[in-house]
Amino acid sequence: MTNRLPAAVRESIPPALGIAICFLLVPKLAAPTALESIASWMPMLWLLAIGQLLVIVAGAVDVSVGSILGFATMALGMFLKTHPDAPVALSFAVAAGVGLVAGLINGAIVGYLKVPPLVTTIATLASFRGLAFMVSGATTITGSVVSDSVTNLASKGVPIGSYTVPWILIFAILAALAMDFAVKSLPKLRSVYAFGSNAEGAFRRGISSSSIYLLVFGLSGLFAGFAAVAYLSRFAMAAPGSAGVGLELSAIAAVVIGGAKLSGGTGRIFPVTLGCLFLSVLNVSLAVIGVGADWQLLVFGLFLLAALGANRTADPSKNSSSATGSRKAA
Amino acid sequence: MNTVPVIDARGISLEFNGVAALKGVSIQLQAGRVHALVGENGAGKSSLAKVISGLYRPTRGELTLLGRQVQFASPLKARQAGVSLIHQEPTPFPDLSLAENIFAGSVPRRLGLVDRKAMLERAGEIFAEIGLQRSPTELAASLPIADQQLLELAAAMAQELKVVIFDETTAPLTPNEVDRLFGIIDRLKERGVAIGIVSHHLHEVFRVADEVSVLRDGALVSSGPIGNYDRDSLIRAMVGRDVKSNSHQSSSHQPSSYHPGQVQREVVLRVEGLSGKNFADCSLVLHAGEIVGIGGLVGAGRTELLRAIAGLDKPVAGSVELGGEKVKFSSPREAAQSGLVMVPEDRRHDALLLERPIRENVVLPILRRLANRFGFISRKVEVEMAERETGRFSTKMAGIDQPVGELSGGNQQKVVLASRIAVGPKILLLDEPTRGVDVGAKQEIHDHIRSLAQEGVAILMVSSDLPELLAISDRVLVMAAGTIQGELSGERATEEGVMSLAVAR
Amino acid sequence: MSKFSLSRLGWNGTHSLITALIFLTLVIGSRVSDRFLDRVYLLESVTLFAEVGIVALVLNFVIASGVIDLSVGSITVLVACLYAKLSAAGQSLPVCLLAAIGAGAALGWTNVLLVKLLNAPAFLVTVATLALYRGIAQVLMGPQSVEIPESWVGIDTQTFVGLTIPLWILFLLAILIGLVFDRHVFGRETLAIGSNEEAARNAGVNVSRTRAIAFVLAGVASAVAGVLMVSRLGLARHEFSRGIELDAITMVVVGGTSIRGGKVDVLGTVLAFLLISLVRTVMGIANLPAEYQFSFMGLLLIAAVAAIGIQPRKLLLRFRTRS
Repeated sequence: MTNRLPAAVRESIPPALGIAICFLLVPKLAAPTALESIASWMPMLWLLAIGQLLVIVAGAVDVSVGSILGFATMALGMFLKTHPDAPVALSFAVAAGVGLVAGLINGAIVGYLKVPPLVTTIATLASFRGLAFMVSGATTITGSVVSDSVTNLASKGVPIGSYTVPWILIFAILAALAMDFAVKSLPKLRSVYAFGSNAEGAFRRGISSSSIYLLVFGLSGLFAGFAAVAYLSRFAMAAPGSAGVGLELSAIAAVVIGGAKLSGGTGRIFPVTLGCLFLSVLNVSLAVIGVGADWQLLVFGLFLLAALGANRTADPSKNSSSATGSRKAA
Repeated sequence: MNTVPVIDARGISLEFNGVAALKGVSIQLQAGRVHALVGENGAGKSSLAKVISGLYRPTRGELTLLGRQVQFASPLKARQAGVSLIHQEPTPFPDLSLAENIFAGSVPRRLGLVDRKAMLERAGEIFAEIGLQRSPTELAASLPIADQQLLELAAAMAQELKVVIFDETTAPLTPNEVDRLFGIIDRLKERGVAIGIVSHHLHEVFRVADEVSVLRDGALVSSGPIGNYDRDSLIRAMVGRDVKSNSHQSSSHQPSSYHPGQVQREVVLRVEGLSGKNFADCSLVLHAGEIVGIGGLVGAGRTELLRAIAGLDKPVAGSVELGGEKVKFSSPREAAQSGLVMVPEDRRHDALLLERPIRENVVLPILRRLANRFGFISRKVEVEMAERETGRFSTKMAGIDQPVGELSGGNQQKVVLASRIAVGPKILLLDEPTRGVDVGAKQEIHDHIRSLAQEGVAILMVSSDLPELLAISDRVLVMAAGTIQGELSGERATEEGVMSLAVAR
Repeated sequence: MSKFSLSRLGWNGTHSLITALIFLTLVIGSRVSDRFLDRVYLLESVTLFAEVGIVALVLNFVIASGVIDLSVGSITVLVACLYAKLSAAGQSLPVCLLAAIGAGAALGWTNVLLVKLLNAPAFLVTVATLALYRGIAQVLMGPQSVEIPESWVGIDTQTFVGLTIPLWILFLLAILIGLVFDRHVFGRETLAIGSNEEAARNAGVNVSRTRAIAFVLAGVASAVAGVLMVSRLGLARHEFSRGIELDAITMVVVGGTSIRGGKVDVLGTVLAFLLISLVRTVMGIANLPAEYQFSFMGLLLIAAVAAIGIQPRKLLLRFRTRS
C-alpha cells in the first residue's frame, strides 16, 4: 500500500503537466465547443489504451489495434447495413466479438507459436487491415447506413448543466472503472503483472505464458472492438483504408505517457487515463490553433518521442545503472 | 526404516534430445531428515531436484509422494502437493509486493477475487515464522539475495510444505545468512518436512545432512547415512577417480612464483583510494608475475572493485595507474588496449555468445588485431588462432565450430579464459574463475593461472572458494563492507585469517 | 579442385525450402497468366521489389544485432521527396545523389541519437520516427507530386549483362554483406552483440558504435531505395512506400535471420526476396488488391518466425527494454 500512492502520483505528473500546459497556452480550450470536442475524442483512445495497457504490463506490445479497430468498424458497418434496426447492445456485441476474435488470434500466435509480440502484431496489422477490406468488399460505410442507435451514443447522453456527457464517454468511464477494479482484484489479472515483472518466475509458479498472452491480446482486441463502436458513433462513416489507421501509435503513446514500464510489470489505469486525456487535449489544441492536417503526423511523431522521454523520467528504476550494485554490503 | 518415505523416486531417467541427464536414479526423502545430493557439475543433481519438484517430467521411472504415485504436470502442481524447490538464483517479481510475491499464481480468494487482507495476514505469519523482518507490502525490487531466498521459502510455505529442496542456495550467502538458513532448516526438520539439499560445499553437507546420495554422469553411484562417509570418500565417489582435493592442495602447495623481498618486480597496477558503488577508498598494488587474491564475503564489494578497475563501471573517486601512468577506462575495450583484461564471474550472462561457435567466441576480443586494414579477417588465420588458444586447455569439444552453449560449464569457462588470454594481457582480473566448474577443470584452470603468472602476467583474483584463494594466491587481500580490511601472506594466509578479516564489521 | 558441394557454400534446409517455393510460385504464375514466364516480364517484376530487397539486406545488420528499425519505409519516402525537391530546384545529379545518401545516413543517425537520449527501446523510437519522418515528408510535399528530370528516369529499365541495374546493386550488395558477416570485424561484432550484448561489451566490442553503424547503414540503404524508386516512377509523393518495413522484415525473417538477433542468413534474404517478389507479382496478376497482398505478407511473416521460433526460446521478449 505504501508504495502504491507515490507511484500512482508519480506516474500521473507528466500527463497532468501536459494537460495543464495545453490549457495555459491555449485558453480557448476552456470553451464549451472545445471541451465537447475533447470529450468526443477521448472515449475511442481511452478504450484502446486500456487494452494496450494490459499488453504492455505483460511486457509485450500490440501495434495491430488500429487495424483491429478498422476491421471491427467495417464488420459492424456491414452488420448495420443488413440489420438497420439492431439494438445498440447488439452493435456492441458484434464489434466486441470481432475485436475479441482478432485479439485472440494475436494471443494464440504469440502464446503458442512463440512469435515475438512486435513481429506478430506488425504482421496482423497488415492482415487485419486486409480483412477490413474483405469484410466490406472494399466499400465505404456511409452515414445513411449507420443507425441512429449508434450515432446517438456520441451525440446524446446525460445532461450535466448545459453540457451533455455522451453515452459513449459514460461507457468508457464505466469500462475504465471496471478494469481498474479488475486489475487489482482478479487473480488472473494479477498474474499478468507477475508475468510482466518476471516471466521466468511466473512460469515456475505455474503461470503459463500462453494463457497470459491469450488473455492480454484478447482483452486488447476486445477493447479495440469497443473503440470501433466509439469510432462509428463519432464519425458515422468508415472507410476500410482509413478507419483506425495509426491509432495504435496514440494508444501506445497514452500508455507510455501514463508511466507504465515498457519492460512490463507495472501500469495503472488512472495515469493512463490522464495520458489519453492529454493526447485528446493536445489534438484539439492543435485544431484550435489551426495546425493543418499535413502537420499532424509530424507533431504526433514528436510527441511520441517526448512521451518516451517523459516515461524515462517517471521510471526511476531505469536510470539506475547496473544490476551488479544492487546488493548491499553485508 | 519402516516409515513410508515422503518422496520415493524409483528408476528416474531423464533425456534431453536423446542425451541422458539421469540414468535410472532411485532416491528416497524421509520426513524430518535432510538428504544431500552431491556430485560434479553435470552429474545430474539439479536435474534430479527438478524432476522431483515437477519442473522436468522424467522420461522413465516413477515418483511417489507419501506412497501415492504422482506425476506433476507443472511446478505449480508440485507446489500445491507440498513439494517445492528453492532455486540457486531466486527470481522474485520486482514490481510486486512481498505478499504478492509469495502468492503469485495462487492468491487467496474470496468470491473469486483477490483476498488482500488474508494475503497480507498470512504473509506476515510466514515471515514471522522464518524470521524475515520485512513488511509484506514493500516491493521486492531491492531485496538482497539472502532475503530473496527466504521469500522463495516463504512462498513454498504458503502451501502445506511436505518436501523442500534447496538447490545450491548457500553459494551466495554470508556465513551469518547460512547460519540463519540452517536454523530454518532445523525448524523445518522438526515440523517433519522432508528436505533435500544440492550442494558443492561438502562441509555444509557434513553439517546438516542426515543422508547423502552421490551422482556421477547421471547415475546414482553411492548412497547412505552421512556417517558412512568422510570428505575423501565422498570426493572419491563424486569423481570416480583419485584426485587430490583442493583442501589437500592448500595444505601442501606453497605458492612459489613470487617471494616478496627476494626479487624486485615491476609494479604494473597501482590503485589509489578507489571508490564507487559498494566500495570505498580501496588501494592496492600489483606486481608483474604476481597472483593477488581478494577474499571476503559475497557483497563485500569485491566484484564492484574489479569492475571499476577494468572500466566496466565508473569509479566516483580515486585513481588507477597502469605501469606508472594514470588511466581512466570508460570501457572494457580501452582497458584491453592497455593490456588489462577481466574475466567476469557469470560466464553465460557476461562472457559467452552461447549459440555462436567456439571459434567466434575465442577470437572475439582480438578480432580487430586479426583483421587487415580493411577490417577483413582471413579464415585461415582465425582458425589457427582459435585452435591454438583452445589448445592451451584440454577443452572437450566436437570442434571449434561447435556452438559454445553445448559445452559443459567447465569447458565453457576454459573457452572464456582462452579468449581473454588470447588478448595477451599484462594484467588479468579474474572474478570467481572456477565458480560452478567441476573438480578436474578446476585443477586445470589453477595450473594455467599459475603458469600465466610465471610468464609475468599480473593476476588479481576474486574468489569465494577459500581453499582456492589460499592455494594459488601469493598474497590475499580481504575485503569487508566495501573496504580492504587487510593483507595476508605466508603463514598468516589461513582460512581462519581470511574469515576473521572478512567478518570484521 | 575440391569436390563441389552446396552445403560448403552455406546452403541449408531453409534455402532448399524457399527455392522449392519459388519454383512452385513460377508454376502457379504460369497457370494464372501465359505471359508470366516471359523473361522480360519476370525481370521487370522482380526489379520492382529490388528497392525493398536492398533495404532488407542491410536491415540484416540491425536485426542481427538484436534490435529492429521500423522507420526504413519513412526514410525511403522522405529521402525520395528531398531528392525530387532538390532536382526540381535545379540541382545537378551528383549533388542530389550525395544529398540523398547524406540524408539517409543522417536520419539513421537520428534514430541512434534518440534511442540513446530517450533510453527507450529501438522499436518504439523507430515507431515514433516512422511517424515523424513521414510527417516531415508530408509537410514538405503537401498533396503535390514532384517530378524529376526526364533523363534521370528509368534506371529500372536499363540492363547490364541480362540484369537490371537495381538487381545488380542488390546482388553485389548481397555478396558484400555476406562477406562482412562472415569475415569482417563489423559483421562479426554485430552478431556478437545480437547473441549476447553484455558479453560482447565485456569482450571489448563497442556496442553503441557498432549498433549505430547498423542504423546508419539501414538509413543509407533506405536512401538508395528512395532514389531508385523515384527513378523508376519519375516522381515522388509523400504517401509512397508505405508499409515496406513489413516487406523488408519479412524477407529478412523468411530468409532465416533470427528476429532475436545473433544469427543471420544473407543468402536466405536474397532467396526470400525472389520468392516474395514473385508471389506479389502473381497476386498482382490475379488482381488481388494491395491490402490483401499485405495480409498475405503478414501471414508469411508469422509463419516464418513461428517455424524458426519454435526452436529454443532463450529470450522470449527480445524487444524489451535493455538497460
